[in-house]
Amino acid sequence: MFPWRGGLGLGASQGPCQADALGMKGVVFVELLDMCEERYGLEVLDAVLQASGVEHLGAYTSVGSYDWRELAAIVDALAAQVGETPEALMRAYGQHLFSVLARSYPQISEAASAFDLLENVESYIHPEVRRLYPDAELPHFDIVRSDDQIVMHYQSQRPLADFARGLIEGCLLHFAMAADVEMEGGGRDCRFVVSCRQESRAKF
Amino acid sequence: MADSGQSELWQRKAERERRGRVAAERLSERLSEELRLSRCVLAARTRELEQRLAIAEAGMADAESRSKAKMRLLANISHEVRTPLNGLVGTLELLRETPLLAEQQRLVDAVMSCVDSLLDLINSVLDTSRMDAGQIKLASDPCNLRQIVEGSVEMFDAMCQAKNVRLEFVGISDQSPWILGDEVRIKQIVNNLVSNAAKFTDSGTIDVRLSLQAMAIGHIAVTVSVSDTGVGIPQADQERIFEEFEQVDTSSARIVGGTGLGLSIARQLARMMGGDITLQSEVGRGSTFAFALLAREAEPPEGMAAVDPAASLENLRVLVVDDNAQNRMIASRMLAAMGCRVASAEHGLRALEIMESGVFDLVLLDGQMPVMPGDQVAQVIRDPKSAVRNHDVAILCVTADVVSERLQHYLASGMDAVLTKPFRKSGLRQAVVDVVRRVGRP
Repeated sequence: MFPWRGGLGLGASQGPCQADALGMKGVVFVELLDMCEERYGLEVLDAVLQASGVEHLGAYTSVGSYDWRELAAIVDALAAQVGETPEALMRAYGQHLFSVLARSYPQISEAASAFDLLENVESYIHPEVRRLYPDAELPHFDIVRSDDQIVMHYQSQRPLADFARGLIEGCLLHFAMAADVEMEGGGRDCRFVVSCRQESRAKF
Repeated sequence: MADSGQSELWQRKAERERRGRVAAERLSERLSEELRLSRCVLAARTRELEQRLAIAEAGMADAESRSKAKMRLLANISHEVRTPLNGLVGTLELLRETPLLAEQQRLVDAVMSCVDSLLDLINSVLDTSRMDAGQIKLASDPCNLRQIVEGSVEMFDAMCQAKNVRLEFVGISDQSPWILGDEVRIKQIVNNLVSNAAKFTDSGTIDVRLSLQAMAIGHIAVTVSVSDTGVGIPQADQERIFEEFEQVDTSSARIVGGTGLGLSIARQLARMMGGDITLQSEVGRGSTFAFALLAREAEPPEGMAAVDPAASLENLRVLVVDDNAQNRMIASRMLAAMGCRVASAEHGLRALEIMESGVFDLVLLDGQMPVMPGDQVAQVIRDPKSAVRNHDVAILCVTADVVSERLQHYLASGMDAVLTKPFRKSGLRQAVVDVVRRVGRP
């Protein structure tokens, strides 16, 4: 059983919602549906949306905000449809979304390295997000960086640790950095230990 | 069947896309509305700020008008005090010229010194208020620094001699002493430094040095330093004495007088000129105050050869116009003593009557008078259609006004020069010689 399951009553939601603890930016939904269609086909996507019970069969717009639980319901339905675990799908989606974001926001590629970007999640990325969306509800990271390791302590009102892991891995892939991501904990509170592999050290 | 299934699939996708688009449009409308509201709020806030600004500006204007009212009051007080002070100074000067016993001479000198202090006080208070109100504007005319510094040394020489203190001028440059500046204010600064040294030095020497050094093209580094062997100023007090109403010894037992405004004013003036006054001092050994300034060089003005104060005023025909009988009497007596032939009038209309029948070389004209004020009298004299016989007579305005706008107004009304009350015989003589030389005798 995953933390987002149970008693959602999703049918009652009214399209784009206000950004609050529940609200998540529409781009995350739109890109999930695109990835789903791209990887598994329109038929699967259609079935997933029908099965998930999300409102309006998932008519999302990237500029809106929606209840994050709809995202979870879609991922659950997709998992059932394709025989993957929701955790694996969330992680895969995080990786995919990072590549989409890196294309949309070229500033991301200006960072010197993956570690530099990860290290500055709180000092640069989140402030930039808040500048665009002042009421965005963002997770909090406590970050400690050493020579070949970065430890990110994730705390969020939404249990999306796997999604966060996928984003971190997407970042490492984007900067072509060989590193291992270990998770301690999960859900709303999780420590990610990102360790650089030997061959990648020169890239710091 | 398969086709219809595909078709439904695509229809649903299209419907999803359409709804997404509609949602985006609604959101965009909502954001537009929010933006419109924000603009309204912003406009209201701007109006509120503008109102607040208007209130603040009104408050500032009010404060300014209060400050101006204060200045007017002070200028009026100054005017009202200067008029009797002129009587006092003049009478004392005339008294001095009568045969006096040594004791009487000393008493007259003592009163004269009190009058000087009083005048100094009025001038200082007026200057301080003007500075607070930002009303001091510096002139930029050619002035001769050497003359200014030597004049100051001369002025305090008698005072130093009386205390057996040697006061010396040391000029240390071949540089031309002509610079562009405000002569009156530079004099005020130098006089303040020399007078302080004279006041606080009881034995030894006071050296007044003028150093002029050519700098970048057209500029001169000016330093006037006054070094004394006086009491000296403790390190801790060296900044404080430049503040208003401060002297080193503020105890009631202090021997030397003064308001404690002079040095503060002098430094403010120096800074307005882009210069400064600095101090080096050691208790028991003495002090050196230095007034430093980077000034622009000036050409000596043509025809400004030093006025010969001994020039003859013999048989100069002078009309003294003043509503104050005592001031009239004093000026008349002083001028008579210089050899002038003097007539007098108690107000402007009477003066004009006299000038219709008599010819004069010079009119000494009071500024503020009942019946007809000085500026109007001057306008009538200069009017070629008036019955006055000599329209080109030299007119010297003698006034207790010190507000520069008033003085400018007098000059604009046709007067040739201004002499401020109270004046001494030497000052009167200098002013008369100067104006007559400039305007000429008919």
